[in-house]
Amino acid sequence: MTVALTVTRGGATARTTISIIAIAVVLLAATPWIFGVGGSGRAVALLVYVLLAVMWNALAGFAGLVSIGQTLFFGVAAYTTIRLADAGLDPYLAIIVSIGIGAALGWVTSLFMLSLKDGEFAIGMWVLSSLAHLCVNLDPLIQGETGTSLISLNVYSIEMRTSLTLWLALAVTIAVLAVLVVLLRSRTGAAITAIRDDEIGARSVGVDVIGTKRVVFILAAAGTAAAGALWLASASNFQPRAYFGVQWTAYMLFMVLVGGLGRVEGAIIGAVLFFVIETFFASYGAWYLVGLGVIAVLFALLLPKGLWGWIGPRLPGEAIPTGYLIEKKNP
Amino acid sequence: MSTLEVKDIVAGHGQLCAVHGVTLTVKPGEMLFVLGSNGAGKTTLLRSIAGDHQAEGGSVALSGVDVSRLSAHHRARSGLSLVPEGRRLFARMTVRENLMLGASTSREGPWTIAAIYEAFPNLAKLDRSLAGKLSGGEQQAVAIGRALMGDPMAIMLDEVSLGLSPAAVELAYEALKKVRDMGLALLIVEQDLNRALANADDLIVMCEGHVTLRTKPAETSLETLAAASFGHEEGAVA
Amino acid sequence: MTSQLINAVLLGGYYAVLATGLAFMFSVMNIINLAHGAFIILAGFGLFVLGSDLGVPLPLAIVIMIGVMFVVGFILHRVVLSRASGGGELLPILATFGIAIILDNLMFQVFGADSKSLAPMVGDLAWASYELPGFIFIGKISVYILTAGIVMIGALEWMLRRTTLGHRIQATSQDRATASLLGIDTGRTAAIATGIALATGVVAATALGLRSAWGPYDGSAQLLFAFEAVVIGGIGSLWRVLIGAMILAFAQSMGAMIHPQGFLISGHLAFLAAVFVRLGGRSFSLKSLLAKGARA
Repeated sequence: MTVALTVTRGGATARTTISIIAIAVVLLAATPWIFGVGGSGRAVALLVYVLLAVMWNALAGFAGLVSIGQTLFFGVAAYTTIRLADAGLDPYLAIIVSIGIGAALGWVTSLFMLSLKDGEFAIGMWVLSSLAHLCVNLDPLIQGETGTSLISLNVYSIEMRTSLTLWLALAVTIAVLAVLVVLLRSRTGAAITAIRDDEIGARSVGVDVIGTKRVVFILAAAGTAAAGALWLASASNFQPRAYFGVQWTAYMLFMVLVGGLGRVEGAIIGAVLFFVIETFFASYGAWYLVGLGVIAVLFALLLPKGLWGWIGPRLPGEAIPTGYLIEKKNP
Repeated sequence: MSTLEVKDIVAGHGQLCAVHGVTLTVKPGEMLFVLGSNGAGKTTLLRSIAGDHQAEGGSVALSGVDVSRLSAHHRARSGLSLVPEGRRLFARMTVRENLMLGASTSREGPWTIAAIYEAFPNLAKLDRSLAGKLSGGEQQAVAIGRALMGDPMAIMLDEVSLGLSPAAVELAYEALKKVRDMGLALLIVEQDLNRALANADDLIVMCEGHVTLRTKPAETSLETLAAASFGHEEGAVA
Repeated sequence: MTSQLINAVLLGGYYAVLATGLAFMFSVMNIINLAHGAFIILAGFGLFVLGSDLGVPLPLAIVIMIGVMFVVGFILHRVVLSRASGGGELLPILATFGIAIILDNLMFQVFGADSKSLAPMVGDLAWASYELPGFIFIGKISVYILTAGIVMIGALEWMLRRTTLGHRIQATSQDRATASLLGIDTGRTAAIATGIALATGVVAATALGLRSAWGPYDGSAQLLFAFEAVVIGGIGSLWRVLIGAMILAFAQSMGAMIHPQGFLISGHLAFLAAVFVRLGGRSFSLKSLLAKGARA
């Protein structure tokens, strides 16, 4: 008896998700008119969180590389934006160039860091970030922890500035997400998922593990760099400690652990959740961070697959269609 | 009373069921051989009995005491020992240190380092050698000695003859027969059917997780055992 | 020059004390404890509370805190690390990092931002020094710290190689499943090892508190120094930690001579150099780095 198999990519859940995302994008783009200047700033923050979460998740959840030093790219991109703007480049152009610089830095770093294992890689990245922080402090334009501002933004009016930053952030986030999803749907994506599930097994079927990890690493570097440059555009102020500080790593950890490691949907959910929690609780200072840490540890121990790990399997198909759906139809 | 009573063990790896309800008993001073081709589930069975692998069903009793809920190290302390496949000695420690670790069960009994060296005379001079540098036969002797140091009531051995020269296998079985004669119950997984026929008190053959044959050496033949290993009737063409 | 050399050696002694607990936990349990620094700071606050608030003499405070931190480590393993190790290599890193964040900020809330020091508890000893020929003075405390580092490493190595507990710890780290089959309670053994690792942190806290001072957020800096010392020293026996610590201290001292900010930077560069050198064992060349699919 022959059995017909249909292979699809996507499905009802995916279509619903894409619709939701489309609506969200439209709303976010319209924020300057709906929520004004303050709303735009918060919207940029949300997009930065999404970028950070999705990128850190791609690195840790897909490539299996836990990095406590992504602040390397976050801070360096903000710094190069300041420097380029100071040299006369339009600030928004400086941001885009800095994203490219971030990717290049990612490539260079990957050459020697990818050979390190687990914990050594994790802290090794932190050492690199600390090194970058120290070097940035040496720049006379920055003057240690005094810092400086993205002064050239003042060319634009405040409404113009916040709107432009928001739209750029939206465009960059969508672009990065699109690149990631396309990547995951490709052969490289299959390789990435294979590495995530069983690295040795992947290698044994011929997957180029280091090369694949390098692709993810460079993408994560570029995405994290973008986040840093965008954060600068929104905050305008550059104090090295605010960009290289370990609190950013804590946020990334929280978002990914709570949302769900290993799936893009999880990272996005984690970012949104973090945004909401931050809106209400950030004013509690150190207690807020204690709370974040406790929640992250509890999730790590009790619900290691995060919220999406709990919700996801209960939905038919995938929300973000990266895999294949095989259906059996009996005649 | 049986030293080792195993009832309806069900165990698997993820979605693959490797052991489909296996029952067996071993009495004191008895050697039970478990035979079967690769992938029959023998190693999973032994590891489940020892507590190293989480069984999904069934029970294990040691001298009448139910140990099914105990973790691996508690079962070892209750007198159940497993010499795992590949020996698994601590390569970076000496023979003596490996043997001393075997005594971690804190049980009372006749086995001491001196007694082990009497049973395995070729080990005495290797006292301070690193376990990783020994030959296959010497490692097997250390592994058995290490299990004995725990003063067990029942010993399970996974693949005794694997990777050993015939002379080394001979020595190993000489020692095991002495151990059996002291009253211990032995459960041995073996690929070498001749060895099994020569030494066993009872035989079990497994195929794809099921027991396909229970017999004694006098009542069976090499051909019957081979056929049962592959799941055929004797004489049937593959 | 000589005095700078000697000071570098003494600084190396301090880093060795700092790094021993981290190396111990890593070699024994394959866990990089990212909360290592935070626990040292916690021990420091404990010593401070005992000494300054309760008036307990420092030696007794140290003994008490060693007991306390041993229990904390034991519980840490039982409650957190044992669960985290089951879930792949990522979880212990994530869980211990989370704990570090919790501890850092909790300590900030409870003890405030002010720096604390243990120097008041030892009176004149804080600035006592030995005089060496050539008018060179070295701080007594620094010498004690170096001595403590050597003694600690020696004691731990002796414990690992010559005692039953040490052998069980080694067995648990080399082959946990087989260790269980021999009757070793591997969970309890690992918890004891964690307790020991955290207890060594008390010595590190004492060293830190006597040499200078600490604040609630200084844990990450200590972790970084400890980690760099461990990586530079390489894996093997704990004595390598001493070597790594010395190299780190020397690198930092040389950097400080070049530029006021050079201290930390040259330490990081020494770490990177060590990573390069280790990779060098696998045909390191720019060509091989750029070749697609370079072997890990």
